Amino acid sequence: MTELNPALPRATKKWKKTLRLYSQQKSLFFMILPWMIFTFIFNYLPLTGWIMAFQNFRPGKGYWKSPFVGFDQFAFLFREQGFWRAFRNTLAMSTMNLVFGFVFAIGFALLLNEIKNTYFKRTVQTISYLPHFLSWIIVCGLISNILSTSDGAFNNLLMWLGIIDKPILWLGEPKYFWWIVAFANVWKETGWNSIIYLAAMSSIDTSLYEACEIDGGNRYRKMWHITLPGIRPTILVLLIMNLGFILNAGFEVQYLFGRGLVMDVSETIDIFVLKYGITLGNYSLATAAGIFKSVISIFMIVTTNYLSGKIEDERLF
Amino acid sequence: MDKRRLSRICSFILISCLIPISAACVKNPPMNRATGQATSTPMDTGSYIDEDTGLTPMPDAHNPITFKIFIRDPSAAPSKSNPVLRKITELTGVTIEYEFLVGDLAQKQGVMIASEDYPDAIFAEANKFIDAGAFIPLEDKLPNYPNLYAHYSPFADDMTYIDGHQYILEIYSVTLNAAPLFEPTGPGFFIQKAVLEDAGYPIPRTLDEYFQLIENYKAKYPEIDGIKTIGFEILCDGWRDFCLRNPPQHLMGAGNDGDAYVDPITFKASLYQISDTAKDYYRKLNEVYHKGLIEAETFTQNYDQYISRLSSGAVLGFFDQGWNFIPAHNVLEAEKKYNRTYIAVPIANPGVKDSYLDAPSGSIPGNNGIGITKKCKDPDRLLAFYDWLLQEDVQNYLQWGIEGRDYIQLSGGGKVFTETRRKIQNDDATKRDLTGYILWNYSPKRQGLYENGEPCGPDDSADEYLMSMSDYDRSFLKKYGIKYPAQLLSDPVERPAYYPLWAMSLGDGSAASVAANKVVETCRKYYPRLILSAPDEFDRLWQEFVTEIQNGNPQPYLDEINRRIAEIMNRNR
Amino acid sequence: MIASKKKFKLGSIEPIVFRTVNTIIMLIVIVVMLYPFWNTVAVSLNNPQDTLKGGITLFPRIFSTYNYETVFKNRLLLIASVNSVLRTGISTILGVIVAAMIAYVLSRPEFLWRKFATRYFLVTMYVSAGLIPNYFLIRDLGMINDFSVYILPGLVSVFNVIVVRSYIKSLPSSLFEAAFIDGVGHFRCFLLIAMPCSKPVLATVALWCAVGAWNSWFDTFIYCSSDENLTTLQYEMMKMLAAAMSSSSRSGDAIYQAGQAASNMVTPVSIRAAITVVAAVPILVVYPFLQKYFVKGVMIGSVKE
Repeated sequence: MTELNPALPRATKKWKKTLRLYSQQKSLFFMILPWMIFTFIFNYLPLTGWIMAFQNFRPGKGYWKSPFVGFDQFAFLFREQGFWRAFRNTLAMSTMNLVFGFVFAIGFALLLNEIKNTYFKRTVQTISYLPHFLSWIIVCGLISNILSTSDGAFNNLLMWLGIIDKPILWLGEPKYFWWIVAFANVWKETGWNSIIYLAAMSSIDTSLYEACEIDGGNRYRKMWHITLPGIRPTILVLLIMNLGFILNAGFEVQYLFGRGLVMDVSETIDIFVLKYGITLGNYSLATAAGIFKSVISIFMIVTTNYLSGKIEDERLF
Repeated sequence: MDKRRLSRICSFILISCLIPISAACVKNPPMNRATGQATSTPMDTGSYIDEDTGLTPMPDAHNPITFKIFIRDPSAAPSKSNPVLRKITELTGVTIEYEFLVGDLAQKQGVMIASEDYPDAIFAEANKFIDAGAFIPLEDKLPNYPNLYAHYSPFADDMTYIDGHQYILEIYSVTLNAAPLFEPTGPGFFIQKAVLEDAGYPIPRTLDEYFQLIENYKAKYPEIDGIKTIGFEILCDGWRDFCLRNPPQHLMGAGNDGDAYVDPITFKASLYQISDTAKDYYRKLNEVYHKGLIEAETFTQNYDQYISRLSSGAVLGFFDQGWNFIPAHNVLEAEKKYNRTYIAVPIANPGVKDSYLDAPSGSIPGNNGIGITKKCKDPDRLLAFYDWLLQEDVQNYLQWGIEGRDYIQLSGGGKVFTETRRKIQNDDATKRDLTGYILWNYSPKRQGLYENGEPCGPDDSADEYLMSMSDYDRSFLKKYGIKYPAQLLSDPVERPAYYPLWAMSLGDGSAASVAANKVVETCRKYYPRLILSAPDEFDRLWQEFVTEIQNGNPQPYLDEINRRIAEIMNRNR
Repeated sequence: MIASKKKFKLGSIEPIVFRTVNTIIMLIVIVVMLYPFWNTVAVSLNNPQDTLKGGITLFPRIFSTYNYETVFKNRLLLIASVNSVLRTGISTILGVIVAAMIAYVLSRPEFLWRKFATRYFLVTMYVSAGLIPNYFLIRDLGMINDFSVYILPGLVSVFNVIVVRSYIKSLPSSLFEAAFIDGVGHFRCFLLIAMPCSKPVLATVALWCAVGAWNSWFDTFIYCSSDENLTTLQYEMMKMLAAAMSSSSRSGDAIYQAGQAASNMVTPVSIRAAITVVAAVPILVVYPFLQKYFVKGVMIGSVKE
């Protein structure tokens, strides 16, 4: 058929070549196309619902009858002082969570990796992720007991050590709030988060360690020059992906600890959306906030991915 | 070869993932799966009377039908083997399947309304469903059902929605003859009975008197049972922080209205949050905080910690609503520390009459009940069922049970439970699974007193109430010359038709609801600071607070409720 | 890192010092991390009324199995457990296979759509339509009150795909090249080389899938709450918790529930503790089988071949 058209011999050639390439890879396509369609159905199709963000959506009316309001919902968000405060708090808390989360999980995995006794290692590892299975409400309850001013363990300890002379109302002071949230996250998730690093470490070729030992490298050198580089791709990938979640600082801890005294620092975007969107039945506002978060997320991963490619020569996409 | 295998495996995976989709597409939505047990005994209509209960079955009892009802409360459905419910099904053919709320109500409602996937009936935030056109109007149907009609017609005005239709079968307090209030289950300044006992049984009426009593007692007993005495607690946990925010409206002599004070004469709403009463109240709290009556920790503790404090018996006073601290009360009673339990006292501004109790016979909100959806498979059957339930002997059966076995008829006309039944009644699980409580509670029902003065149910029965009172309480109340704790407060007040504000729907995402939210948030943020501030800082901080309230522009909220109040008051004139 | 400077001074004692310090750190970790769960167990075994008074730390004050009896009395527990096990099993197996399959394709440098497909998947991680549009989709697919709603919507987890992909990429490329030269196709390469060599990360992903599926209740709440036969363990647990909460606070209405309040035995704190333990135990039992893959590592042997 193509031969009948002498005007496009080159294009035809290219076309043929492409076709050949595609046919060579048809098994790859076969493995991935169904899932791309699948993802399209479950993840992209519902995005038509983003139309709500430009409406005054009422569940009773549906997409077609709800009035369009243009960018009013976004305008409400961006004009609202509380939203920007929530934005700041979210950024601060998720940055702290990110830093502490990575440092503690990786540090813990490194130390655990040094333990030679398998049973001890497995026991420690099992226990370390137990807090992950507790709901925030339980963990927060325990924390507020520990931080209590009346016979709370933490105040007692500090007083016994002579660091303070009267109990401090930890949960009532805005300046401690972000730290408490970060600590709570570390407590609950360090063990769980370290699992992926342990898995990555287990794939490091042992011959590298042997070689290092022959060169006279000690434990710390092995950690620094073999183990850490070994899990570096994992760290980077997780870091980039998690930077995309920078506006998801969660809301449960902040909600559970967020009393009036610390409200200025405790409210996150999710809480703001809960209060002014979902609870008031304003789905349009919630959707608008969701779109805002998506835009920031994608901006974040594109940037970090670019930087990571420049600096570390490791890209996510 | 390889490719064949590959494609086979691959298509297997594909198919395995597609089969459920296609299957699901073809499958019809689950339909009317009536699970009512077909009663084996064929029933004659009319003449037949059930032997166990003495009740007359419904005419179409042989025709089983199941209704699904969504209930906005988090609770558990009664067991399938519940004998009372089985009997009711046997006599009516009707099975009610309850779906109680588990997660977040707003989300569940949003999804239900958006998708129009409704069960047969719904008890939730009615206005949202009415606005979405989910419910069917009932005003033309109700006259066909004599019991329902007699029950609701006195409240027809309250029940009529702004569009002129009636949609909701209100389920609470639909009564003309209310039983006396025994115990304030609503708001109040509570004080430990031991404090009053120690001071010689006075009745404090102002904040000054109230805190003076507490201060004196704390000075005298710095420790109670080895625990440091706490003068006054303020619960600030999440939505329960009405303990922090609500007192000023009560001091001004209002009931538990909502987030604004409504003048009883002009019916104009204003923000009590920034009134002089509020300023004086929080200044008073500031003063007693610096006297050591309030622990700063009260502003950070959660509900569990609050309950644990209260149940230690070392807390002398607090502002709360009766139902909110029941768990602590139960612990104290179980440990027989009756003098450490609490009683509400009539605190109000000097010269103002306290108004904590609502007179039950006034009016009904009109949206606090069951709506029948347009997806209901047989609305008439459901209404007929509710009509049948409203018969006095059915109500008796649901609430009291069977005479001799569950309750004893007293000579004076009252009823009391038997010991066994009272035990069942006192444990929520057995009450749910062995009695008709859930069906009764979530259906149109009779509350208060019948015309002959007999109590409709145990909650309305003075005899039953007094049966379970401790000796300590009896003699404590005797000192005041009263029979019930509620009598320490002024008589219940009949409320105007718009009452209460909190039940008014402000419209989803409306400017009014945003404004109301902001008022609450600002109070939440400032009140604890005001209480903890240095006394000479108080005025400045108060000014800052008032400015922030005004900057948040509460006007849309006030305008909206003023409009709604005027609307309702004009209609009911 | 300070210790590395001391190396010359300390010489051969260094390993002992390190090991001691490390062991001490790990013991502290054990204490700190075990406490919350231990405390939850203690609360769950304490008399519920007594728990209200607070102050339970390491051991029950008044021993009681009432909380567990309440949990196990639930008539839907059996069917809920079956559903939970099924959904967890199926989601985990399919989830791992799918993630690995997509990851393998995305890790092939020669794949023509590599960049596009990676981005295509990646974006879905950061955009979400929200509750109502998702509900519409599920309804239009006919998956309301259908078991498939537990499996399909979450089947492709992009996070897992990326994690597996980065692991596969870190495998020596010689592994695959050798296979291709031998004429092995992509699918076999995936099944016989990529999958076995990625056991540690697949075990991790399996754990994530399993715990995610096991712990989820929101989909039951939104999509399947009106069909008791599709209830799940976590949903039943949430129901019990809700019931316990409702009896301790009858809020809102202008109810005149005068008279004695029902002295309910069940309290939210105790029920929450009991259901936490009940829900966590199955995971703890299964865990060691997965744990061996990432604590020990299985990779090395296959690389050397």
